[in-house]
Amino acid sequence: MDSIKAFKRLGVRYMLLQALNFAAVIASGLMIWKGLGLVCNTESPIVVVLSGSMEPAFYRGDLLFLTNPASEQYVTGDITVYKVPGADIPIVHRVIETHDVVSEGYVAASPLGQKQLLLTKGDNNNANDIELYQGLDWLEKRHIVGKVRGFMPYIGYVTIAMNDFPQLKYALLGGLGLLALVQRE
Amino acid sequence: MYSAYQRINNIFALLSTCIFALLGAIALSSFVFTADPKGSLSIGSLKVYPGRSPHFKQLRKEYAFVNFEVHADLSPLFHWNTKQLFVYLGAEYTSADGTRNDVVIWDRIIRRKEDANLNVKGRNKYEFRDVAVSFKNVTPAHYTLKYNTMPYVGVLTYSEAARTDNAIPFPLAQERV
Amino acid sequence: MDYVQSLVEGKIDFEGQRLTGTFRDYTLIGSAIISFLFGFLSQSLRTTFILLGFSTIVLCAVVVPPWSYYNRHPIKWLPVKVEGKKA
Repeated sequence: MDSIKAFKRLGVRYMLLQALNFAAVIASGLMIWKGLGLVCNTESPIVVVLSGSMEPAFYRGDLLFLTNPASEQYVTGDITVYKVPGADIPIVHRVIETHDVVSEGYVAASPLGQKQLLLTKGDNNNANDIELYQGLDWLEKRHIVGKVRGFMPYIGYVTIAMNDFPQLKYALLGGLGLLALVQRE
Repeated sequence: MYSAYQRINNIFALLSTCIFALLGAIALSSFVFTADPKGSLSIGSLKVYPGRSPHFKQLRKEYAFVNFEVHADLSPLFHWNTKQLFVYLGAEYTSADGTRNDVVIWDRIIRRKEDANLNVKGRNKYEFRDVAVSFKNVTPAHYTLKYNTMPYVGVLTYSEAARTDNAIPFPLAQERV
Repeated sequence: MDYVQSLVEGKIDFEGQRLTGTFRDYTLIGSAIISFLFGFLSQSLRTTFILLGFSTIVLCAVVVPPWSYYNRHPIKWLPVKVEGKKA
């Protein structure tokens, strides 16, 4: 009852302002994300590492910054993030073979328009990724989300921890609740 | 700053800003170190044998076997923000149909400065085959030793440490004895 | 219960709040700069983060508990006017 009274005291105008503020925060976040994606030419310019197949370079929870410049071919040694049709999670692995195909009777506007066959491998895996390609023999440019340019450790671990240990979520909520109870207004 | 909880909150807000600024400064500090070590690379022997691919089971393909020797002291690349080096040996050649290829045949992860002085006599770790069935009519291959410096935080950099002076032609396939 | 609550809350006066704010700013920014320099000179990221972590812990110990030092300037309220008694 008290909370409803408190709401009434604040008035409609204030509530609308709060809603507008909230919307502005969400919209600017989305704008930054999409703008960054536009500059980097990739659908997700920042990704969290989900598997340990690139250890000891990348551990789970590390943050990667991707770009996907349209003016560059991929070269061996590039660490790419790719998503093949049929697989639900993107994979971060290193390119170990590139084959720039020159197709006959097909003149592309630039050499970059040509087909490029790629093979990738996780630094920590013994075998290459052919088994992960869902029946494809080679990876192609269109499967690649971006290549890794920058790296920041651990920061993304929070999201993984929430998924791995659901208890953590409840512990966090409980802690916040306790704080709210103990604190006096 | 009124209650203890607020003070903790305030400290951690400023602390996280400080940590991000510190990480940025560390990432930028890597550009101060501009070591560009070079090494030497020579190919001992190169043989081509026909074999059966583990993936394309129905196909009989030709596989190349390379013996190489690498000498490179990459320890100058290790500084406070170097997590590891990824060193890899690649072969560059053009196929009979014009396809330009770059194939990594050997690699090594170096995590400590003490291990960074490379003196390796080895054979290709990964299978070395052409997109087509055979190595017939391909151009001679150049071999390169490149490395990727991976920092604790910041930008990944790539460079080339060595390259064979002359391109090495692929021999004709010989049957296994 | 009230005692526990006041301990958890750890109220300090306005002057104390200003002081803790200054401590926080100088310690954190200063230790970030110093730990960067020390780490760079000794070429060790570990040094950097140990220094920063250590100074943060010290800062927490100094600033978070309601030490009596932060309560030396209590607010002097005006005396309560008693109704019905004319001056």
